[in-house]
Amino acid sequence: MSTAPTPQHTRHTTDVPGAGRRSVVWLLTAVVVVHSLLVMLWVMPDNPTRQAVGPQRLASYINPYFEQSWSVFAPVPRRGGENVVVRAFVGDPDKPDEGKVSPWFDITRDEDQRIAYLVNPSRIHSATRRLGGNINTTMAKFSPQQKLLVRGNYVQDSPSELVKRLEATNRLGVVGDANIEQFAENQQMLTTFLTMYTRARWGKDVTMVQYRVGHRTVPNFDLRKQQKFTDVPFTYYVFGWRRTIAVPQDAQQAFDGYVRKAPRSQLRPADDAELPQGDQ
Amino acid sequence: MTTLDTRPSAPETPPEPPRTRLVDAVLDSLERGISRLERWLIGDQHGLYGASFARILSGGAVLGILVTNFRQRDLLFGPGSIWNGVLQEQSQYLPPHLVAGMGSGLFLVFYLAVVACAIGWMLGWHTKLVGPLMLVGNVAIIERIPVLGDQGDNILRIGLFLLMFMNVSEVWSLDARRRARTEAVPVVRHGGAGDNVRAVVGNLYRSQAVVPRWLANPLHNLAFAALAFQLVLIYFSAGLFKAQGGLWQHGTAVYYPLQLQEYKPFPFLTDLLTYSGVVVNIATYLTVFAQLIFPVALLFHLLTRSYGIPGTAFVFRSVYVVIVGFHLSIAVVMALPWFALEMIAFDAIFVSSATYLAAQRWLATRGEGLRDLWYDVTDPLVIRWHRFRGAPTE
Repeated sequence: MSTAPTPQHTRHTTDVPGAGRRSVVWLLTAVVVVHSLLVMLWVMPDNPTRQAVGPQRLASYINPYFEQSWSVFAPVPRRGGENVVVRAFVGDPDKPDEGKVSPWFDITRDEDQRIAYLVNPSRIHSATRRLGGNINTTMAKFSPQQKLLVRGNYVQDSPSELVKRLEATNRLGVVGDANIEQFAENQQMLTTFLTMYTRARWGKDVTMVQYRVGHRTVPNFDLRKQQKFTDVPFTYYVFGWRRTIAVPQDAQQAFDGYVRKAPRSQLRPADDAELPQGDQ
Repeated sequence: MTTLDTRPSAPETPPEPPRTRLVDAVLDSLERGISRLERWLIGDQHGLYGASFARILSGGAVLGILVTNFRQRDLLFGPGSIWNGVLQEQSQYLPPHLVAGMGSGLFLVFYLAVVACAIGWMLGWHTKLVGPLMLVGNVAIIERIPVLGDQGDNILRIGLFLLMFMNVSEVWSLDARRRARTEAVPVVRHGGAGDNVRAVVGNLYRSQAVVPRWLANPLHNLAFAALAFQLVLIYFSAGLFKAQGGLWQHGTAVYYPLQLQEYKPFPFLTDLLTYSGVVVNIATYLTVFAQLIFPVALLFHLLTRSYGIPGTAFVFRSVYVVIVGFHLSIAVVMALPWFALEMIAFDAIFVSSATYLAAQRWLATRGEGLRDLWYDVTDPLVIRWHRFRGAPTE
């Protein structure tokens, strides 16, 4: 006998039970209704009801399992492109004159070439774009003095020294602190990523990295036939040299299997002007 | 002899004031509404074909994500993902800690196990077991890389969570085949605890019901309603956010993200689509309009169907087709196939069982050769498997 359900009936048909069991069903219904209302408050644009409930209280229910945001490409659609360009120092950071420097390498462009004509790209191809975008967002909120601090070298000093200096020059209060914290997290992630990436590309003796994070904007729609987005030059934030970060061997092996190795001939003796002569 | 009844006659009941009649009418209507809702919640399970189709497609999305990132799994989720360690430490999910200490080899085993669960979920193989395992495993893997997360991860996690409470293996599943071949082991009310535990485990294994209908039906239906409402919220809030934006109002918003390298896998196709301002304008407005109108069209559809008003189904169907077309287009044009598949998977619950049955009949009449081939291939395997287990075969 076929048990396939029809649009009218299934094999699960049953009578409505007594009051006790019905009350259990109503309790479950109440849970679903409250959950759905809380999700509704969370996903809608900011509104007085949400404020009345309290954003923190709402967040404590939603995060992490029901976390979601549907302001995708809205109200302002994404129109910014980012890239990360890196170079590496190979040798003893205390003797910069004896080491070698790699040419600048645009990781994001390399990833773009890998994903061309690919309808299902791996997430790894977005890594530098995402990290670069996050860094650019925080940099845009820094004061000129803070931007200058970021350009300095932090080889002898740890990056936490940079964070202390940024905090000392913060004039935006809590908002500025949150921005610095976000910058510090993304700098840590980018430096770790670039440590493993450059070692995979130019060898395990890489001890310092320097990077630039670029940004460019899609030209206005009206100009689409005159100017292509890919022809728009990047505007860069330049960061000073950073000491590489110690990573476990199996983590490095994962990058070694992914990154294309560069020929040793790419490395050349560094000019004095390019290298850190002590932290600034 | 008749006597005249001199007792005073009973006073006539005064007519009810209009206000009382109104209150009664409202209360009657409320009572009818409540009992109708109870019948809907408890009386039967709804949308079983849609739920089964959602299972198949959502399993495909999990599988697609895992296969797409398989070669880079160590960089993204395994030992090499420590570059994202700052955010991993902040993660509030319990599952990610499952894989935190795994080396490359053990992580590969874990990854393949989740892939196997996704295949099992798609095929409807012991869904009550492989479903939760797949969900936990998928979250454990995907949430190792919060910095590269997106809204697709969120809807997949939420949608799968709700599907776990639903009956997703009623049709088009290996569970349904097994259920049809076996019989439920009765649970005796006053039987021994050991016997009853064995009966429940046996029924779970045979894909027979283990939860009484009065509870299983509302669990399925409430999860079904919660998922439907979740999807309505997605479309409506996305539409509201878009309607606030100047470029969306100007009708050119879709042009901008389409120019970005990560959303432009086929430059010639994108350039072709964005060459005409009118096409860009229509695509932009249609996106906002379809998202905003989705809940209204759905409500209209439910009401007209409920009251038996014919000839109105085309309204919701039109919006649905636009929404699915929108997902299909971003799958190809923007290289977002898995996000698109996730959305299409969960949207599948909005299609009625009658439509699925019609589609099944259509496919059955046109795909007999394919069906015969399928059974020619699978039946010997199924029979061999049953012989291996010592179970009787037909």
